[in-house]
Amino acid sequence: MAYSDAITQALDMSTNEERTYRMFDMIVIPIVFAVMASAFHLHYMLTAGDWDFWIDWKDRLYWPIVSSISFIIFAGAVQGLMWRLVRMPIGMTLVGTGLVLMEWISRYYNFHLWAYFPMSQVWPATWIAVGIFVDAILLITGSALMTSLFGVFFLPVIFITSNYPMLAPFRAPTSVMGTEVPVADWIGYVFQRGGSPEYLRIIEDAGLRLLGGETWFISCLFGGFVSIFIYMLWWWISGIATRPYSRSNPLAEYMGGTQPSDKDDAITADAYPTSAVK
Amino acid sequence: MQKENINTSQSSVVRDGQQSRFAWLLMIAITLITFLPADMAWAHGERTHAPSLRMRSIQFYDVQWQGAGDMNVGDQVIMTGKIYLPPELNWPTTLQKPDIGYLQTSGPAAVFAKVESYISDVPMIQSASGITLGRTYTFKLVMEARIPGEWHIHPSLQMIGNGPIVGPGLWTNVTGNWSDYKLPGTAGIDGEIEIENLGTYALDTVYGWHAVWFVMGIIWLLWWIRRPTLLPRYRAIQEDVDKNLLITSADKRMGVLMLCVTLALVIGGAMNANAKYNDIVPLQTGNVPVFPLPVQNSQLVVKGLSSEYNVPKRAMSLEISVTNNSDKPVKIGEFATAGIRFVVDQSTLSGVAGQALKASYSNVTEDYVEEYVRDALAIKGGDTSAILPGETRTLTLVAADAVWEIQGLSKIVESPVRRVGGLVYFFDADGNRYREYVDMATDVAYR
Repeated sequence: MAYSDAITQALDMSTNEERTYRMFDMIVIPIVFAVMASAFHLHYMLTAGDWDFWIDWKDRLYWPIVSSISFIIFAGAVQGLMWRLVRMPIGMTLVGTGLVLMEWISRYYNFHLWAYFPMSQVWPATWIAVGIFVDAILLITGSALMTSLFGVFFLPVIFITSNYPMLAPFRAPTSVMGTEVPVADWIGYVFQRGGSPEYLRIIEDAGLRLLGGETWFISCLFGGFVSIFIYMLWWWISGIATRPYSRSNPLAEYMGGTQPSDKDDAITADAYPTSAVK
Repeated sequence: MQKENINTSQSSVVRDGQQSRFAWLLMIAITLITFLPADMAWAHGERTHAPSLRMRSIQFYDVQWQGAGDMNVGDQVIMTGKIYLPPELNWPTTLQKPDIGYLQTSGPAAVFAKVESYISDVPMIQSASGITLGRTYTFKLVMEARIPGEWHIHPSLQMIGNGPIVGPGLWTNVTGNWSDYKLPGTAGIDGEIEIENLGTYALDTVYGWHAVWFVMGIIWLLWWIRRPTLLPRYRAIQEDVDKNLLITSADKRMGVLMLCVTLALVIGGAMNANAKYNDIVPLQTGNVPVFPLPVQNSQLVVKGLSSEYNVPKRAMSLEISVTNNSDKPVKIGEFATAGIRFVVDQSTLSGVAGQALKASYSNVTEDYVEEYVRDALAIKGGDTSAILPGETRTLTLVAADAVWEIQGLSKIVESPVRRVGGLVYFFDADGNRYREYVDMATDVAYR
């Protein structure tokens, strides 16, 4: 953890400035990590929750698509922010690691210790391989468009493949009451969710649109295709977020302050950081 | 002008200085409220289900438990019984017609492990289809105590579009250690994979791979934050410092290395897993058809005419009309609704019929909580004589017991649907039992 660096030297910083900025890093980075991880966890659990909560929801059709789209919304925006503001290709790894960490905390304390579900039923999927992969593509290409085409498009493939070594044992067949099912189904059957009967699962069914038995492949292809557009949208939105706007608080009067004047009511973009948006 | 009026108004609730103090007091009060003791939530809300739905939808009857009560971790409790669905004419309009359902227990999460379940002897690992109105099904649930504690467990049938209807519940007192519970088995095409405990199966693999990826993620993050990070980099971008200082060639080499290692781990891990578990099956879904019991051979025609719930007496009076088209005299022995059984005094049923009535609940009451079998059914006027072949008789059953209040069924007085339904049981002299469903509007008497 160096105080001085080629960057600080190029900025003609004094030693005192370097030390202060480094202390700022040490204080703010853990806070940013915790806030991002918590917010992302909330977002992901609300949008891809059951597919990640339960081993017998991690199916071939919906799990890759829903998880990828849910992930790329938040992770794409954070990656855009980190790249624009500090030119660091770590946004997706940062929030991916934070998400998985928060999931483990939640699964262990909430699902396992509080609600008695075994860990074999509720372990979370990992997103860290995906984060590193897409961040590295951004670093190498330096372009959001190239990252979306050569990184984000493969996001569901990397997600499924990096989780497959953990998932495969749960796909081994077993016999329950004379019916052959994967171990994951047996776990979901034995450790029952009182308010969530079997028929509520939204998983691959044997319909006429079964995708020719190549469900993993088609799901990942479609998930990657959609993720490209979601990624570009949130990359663009993160660009808006890098421009600090200010507006006087219209409720200030009711909170013991003074009423703002009319000239404060207009929404204005602060002049200084416009160059950050490139 | 309007703004000025607001600011100078003496009636404004906003005054500098005072507002913040009130706000602080309010915040402290709200914070203190969170420390108020909260009551333990008992049971599973079955008593708050709409009484008109509990009494007029699925009827669990002849429910028996084996092995409940005081249990050790790993002990089994077996629930058996029958599920009756009223005919379409009487099915509540607020519920969807049943078709697909799932048998399980209502209880606090996975404190019991469900090791077997059957509807009409069909294994119920998946959902049942073909559940038909007006028909009866048997059920069986085998549960193993897993978590120590006092648990209230019910059989329940979940129905698509409706949710669960909960059968009668029983308290269990489970002692022992959670860690002692193990559910072993085998997996693989030839059963070559030994599962020592389903609850911890393959967790070493899961923990191992998560550890690998956490290490990879931390390496990547530390690589970047080892240098001055936030403000110096931000300023460097604002002040157009040489961009090669922000992302160096070493950074790019590290990025390529991380990308290669990530891809190697991902592909290698998946290939290894594929070789190890080459025979896998996707998650199984779809529905399993179930078939009802044969229609009972009853020659009785029973109609519900009217009913009245007397609030102070906690008594439900049911006026019914019975036509006996069989060749045997019959007597009324029981009225059952919402899992509660109101039975007549056994002495009013002579000989074999009385024994049959007693047999229908004697092995039930052993493990039953008392409130589910109440010796509280009478016939108004005291005419307990048999209904003879060819006779049509109108009579009024009176089920008077505090259980109406305890089970929340007395809330029928507040219900937007004031109707009661249930099963009336008749016995002939040979001890044969006949079950008929009645459904009727309910009036309320307040004195």
